[in-house]
Amino acid sequence: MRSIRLLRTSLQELFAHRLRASLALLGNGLGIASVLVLIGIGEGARQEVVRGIESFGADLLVVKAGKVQPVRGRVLQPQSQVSTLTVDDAEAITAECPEVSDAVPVHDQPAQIKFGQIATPTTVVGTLPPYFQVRRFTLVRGRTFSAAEERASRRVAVLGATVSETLFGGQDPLGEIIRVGRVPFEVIGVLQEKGVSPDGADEDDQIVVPLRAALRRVFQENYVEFIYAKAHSSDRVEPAEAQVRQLLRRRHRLDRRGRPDDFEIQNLLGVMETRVRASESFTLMVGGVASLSLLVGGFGILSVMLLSTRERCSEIGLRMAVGARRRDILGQFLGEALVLGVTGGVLGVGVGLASAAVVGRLTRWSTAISHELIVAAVAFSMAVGLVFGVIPALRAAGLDPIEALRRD
Amino acid sequence: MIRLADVGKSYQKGDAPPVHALRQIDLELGQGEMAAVVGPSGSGKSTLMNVLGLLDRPDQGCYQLEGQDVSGRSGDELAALRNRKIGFVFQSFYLLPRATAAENVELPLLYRDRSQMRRHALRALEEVGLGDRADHRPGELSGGQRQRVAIARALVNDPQLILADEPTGNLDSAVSESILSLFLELHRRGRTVLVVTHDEEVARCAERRIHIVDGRIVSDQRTDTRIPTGAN
Repeated sequence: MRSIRLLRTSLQELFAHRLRASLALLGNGLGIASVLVLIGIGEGARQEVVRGIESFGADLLVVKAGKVQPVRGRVLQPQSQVSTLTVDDAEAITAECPEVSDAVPVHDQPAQIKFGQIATPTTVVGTLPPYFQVRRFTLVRGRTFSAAEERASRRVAVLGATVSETLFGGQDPLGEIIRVGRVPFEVIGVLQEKGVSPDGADEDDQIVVPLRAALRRVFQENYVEFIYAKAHSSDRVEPAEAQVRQLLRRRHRLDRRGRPDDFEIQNLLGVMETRVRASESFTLMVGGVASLSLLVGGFGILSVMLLSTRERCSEIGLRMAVGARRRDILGQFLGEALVLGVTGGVLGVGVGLASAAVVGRLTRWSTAISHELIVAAVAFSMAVGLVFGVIPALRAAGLDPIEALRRD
Repeated sequence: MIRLADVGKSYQKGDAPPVHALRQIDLELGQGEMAAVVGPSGSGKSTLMNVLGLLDRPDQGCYQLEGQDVSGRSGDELAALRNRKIGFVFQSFYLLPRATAAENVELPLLYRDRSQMRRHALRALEEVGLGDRADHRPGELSGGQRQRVAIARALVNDPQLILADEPTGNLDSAVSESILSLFLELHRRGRTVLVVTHDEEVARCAERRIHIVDGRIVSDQRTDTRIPTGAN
């Protein structure tokens, strides 16, 4: 009650000097808002990376065939002729690496596909049935192909959402015949929309067909481009990687001749960690720069409070004469600075949330401002008020009442 | 009620010789007395008032307030004593411009835990004849009314001693008289009042007149001359 009454005078004073107080609030609020927006953008970027990789599968290893090796200035193994991974390699990984729950060979290549008069370029993915589960695709329609169908080189296709939309619009594509190059395939399923993969490919712009059919009839090749190896969980990815590497080096007889790997293993978790770390250091950096503006806001509060204590000397003297202790005066002016800090913080959060929404709409950046961040922003602003209010408040409390009364 | 014994106070600025504001002051003020302290400016009147009001500490001597020695008390203890035992009235009122009359009067109550602050404030305002102005701000009041608000503020904690420093210095003579008769009224109701002034008019209405020159009491007379009250 008492402190509320004391604070009331402070509020009356602040209100009486609206312009001055709002300038201080502006500095403080804009500082909070900019920190909030920048950290929100950074955090949004981080979450997007995590989300992207999780939808791709954080427990996945990607074994890529061959490594482009420059030899005497020439590039060996141009992309179309990678020939180091086979379907047998994938089977061996599944069978012999206990850390790997499933390994799926994949060969994909761009191709033109057609339905009636409509043609569209897309990516043709030849693979085995576990692909859908390993890559976490779900169906919206129809079915996927079975292992038996794959072994029989059946010409069936499961369409990505984008391809289905382009070729069929709203029509039901099930049972229709599309042509991949010149080879006819029957549509048996449509995949759920998935978005963009961590390497930037549109995962909905593809069709999935049995590997054998793709290799023999479309690509005319014997080798696969890569193998997805799924670890039992995302924190078992590293031992799985070691086992796969060891196995492939043995199968490819690299150890005996002491040659380097003829394949490359990408650990998505590693990729994720790198990117997350990059976005975090970005956040930290911009956050640091923006914190400078918080400092500016703090100086705004400092100057308003200094002016206020100077102008109200006689009030301070009078309060002391009628019985205010030094700590009462200290508390009163700290309370005033605190009010400035909190108000600035709340305003800043409002402006920050609004600008984050605008930024999110105008750009493709997603922003993520958590409740914790909001609470931290207001708390920080309060702390700024306190820290920068301490000097003026101490000055006020240190006044000699006689001097203070005389100075008017 | 108040006893000063051999009180001295001097100020030193830089290398200049010390200025003796008060020298060997012996003073007793009884319960319910009304005294005027007069003297030329720079004579030490204000210092005496500051010492009596516990705003300043004497360098030497002994100050007893209601039989208690108050020298050597801490700042917080002095603040509490000022709050409960002393009411100040200043020449320039020192009202908070943005607070209402009642809020101004409540100010000393804020620094001691007291319930029903508003009731006490209203009673003090009534005592100075401003019961109907409680919600006015100082800017809406005349000079005399402002000083009455300040006097109400001095009364609100029911203090033993009311110290007034040139209470009519900023007021014209007609208004001054009404303020003086208010002090006399308070005195008649048993309050102890000490007025510091260089205004003869003011001094004349006190029953006791203490004359200070150069930090010393040069005369301390009891008089019976009073302005007849009720006439104004």
